[in-house]
Amino acid sequence: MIIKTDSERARRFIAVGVLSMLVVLAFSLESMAGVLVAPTSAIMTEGKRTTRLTIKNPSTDPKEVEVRFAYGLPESDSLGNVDIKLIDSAVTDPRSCMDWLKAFPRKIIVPPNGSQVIRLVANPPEDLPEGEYWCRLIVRSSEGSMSPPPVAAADAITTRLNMIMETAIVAKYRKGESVARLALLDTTAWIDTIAGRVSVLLDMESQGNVSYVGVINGRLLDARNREIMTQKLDIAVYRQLKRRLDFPVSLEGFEGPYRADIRITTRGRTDIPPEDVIAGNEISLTTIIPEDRRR
Amino acid sequence: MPTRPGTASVLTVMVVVAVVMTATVSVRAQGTTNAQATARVLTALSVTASNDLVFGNVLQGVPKRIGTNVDDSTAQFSITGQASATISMVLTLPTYLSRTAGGEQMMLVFESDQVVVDTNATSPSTVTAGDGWLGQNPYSLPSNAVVGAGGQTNVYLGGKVIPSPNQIPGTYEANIILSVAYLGT
Repeated sequence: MIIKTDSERARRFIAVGVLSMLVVLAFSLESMAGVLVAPTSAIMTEGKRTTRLTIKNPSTDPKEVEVRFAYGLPESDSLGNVDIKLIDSAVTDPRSCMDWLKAFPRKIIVPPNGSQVIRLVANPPEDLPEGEYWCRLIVRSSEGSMSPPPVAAADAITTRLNMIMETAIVAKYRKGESVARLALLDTTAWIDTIAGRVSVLLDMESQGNVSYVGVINGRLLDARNREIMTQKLDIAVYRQLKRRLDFPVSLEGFEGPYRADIRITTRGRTDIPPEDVIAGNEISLTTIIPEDRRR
Repeated sequence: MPTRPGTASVLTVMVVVAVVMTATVSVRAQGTTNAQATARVLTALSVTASNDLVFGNVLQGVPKRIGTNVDDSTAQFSITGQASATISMVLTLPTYLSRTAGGEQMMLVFESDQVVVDTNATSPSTVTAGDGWLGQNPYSLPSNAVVGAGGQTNVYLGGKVIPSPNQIPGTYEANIILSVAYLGT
């Protein structure tokens, strides 16, 4: 005979209740999402000039979706702030492939809880030099206006703003042998007392013939070798890029001088299929955080 | 033997959980060909508009401003993706609305502090400085923004319409576009 106390029953009831709420939440989050595009990058090669992307509509309404190509690479300023500026025309970069990639179909309606495959085809020029070529596939979907204009007299002024969402997926074409190689040009570290963080700025340059796509792993340690914090940052270096690794942490209770162990590697990307990652060199370094360089 | 007044309720909750879990698995299985594809779909970046910018009725010659903190009027985008991944966000904004029947224009202004980026995905009326970035310029959103730790970041956008004293009545329309990309790809 199993005898349970009231408190055991209460705990069990609460646990089951919390679990059911989490499951319901996960279900509802997926249901209200916009269109999903998978995978997060489209890679083509000389031997495999086509690839497929799946657009999924997890909502209960049909979604009108349009795809097009644009050009844009991660670009950084002197402080390691990074942005991608998308350009639709007049692209002069010889590494752009937006003019010779095609997508089929380009306009679709994805039914509720349905999905649609988009096929990408590369038609590169015959005399294309070896290397990697880049652009972005833009997947545009529209919600239309969720709030119909208020019903008003014929002489009223009303507004309707259509909300349009765009997701940019990187598309790459590789020709010849692919070599991923990264060089670290400079490292700067400081303590930002106002923002309450320790920052390490890494100035990197891609020296292979493909973009260096990997991860920066960082460990912040104190003078007694105690780990204060770890951080991880996905990177894609196409030419030159400054990335800032921030450790938003209070140093109270820890002893200086502090140091950061940094490892940059092409291993550990969970968002890209392993067959699409070009293995490259690893960089490991330790940088002392100068306490007199507080900002 | 003592009775168990909570047992029936526990069983009911467990049945509900089982039903919901079955439904979830079913939905995730649709449109995908294998388990690997499903996993990739779940880390994909997605943008949803959960509310548009609502000005309601506007009077001739009277500007109307919507702030970033009005739950049912502020424009809201939700970005879902890999938790803590850095993202690039760009808003493409109109400078005027066009009358649906006729083409006349009405000025639309986005001031330099009319965006909030909320990495805790709260709501326009409850977001605080600790949730992300307040008072941002819509034409220059924060660099190195991230998908929140919970897998979602919200963008709240306010704006102002400026009708002229002789603005022709009617419905005026424009597009607001949010473009998002992972910075690590």
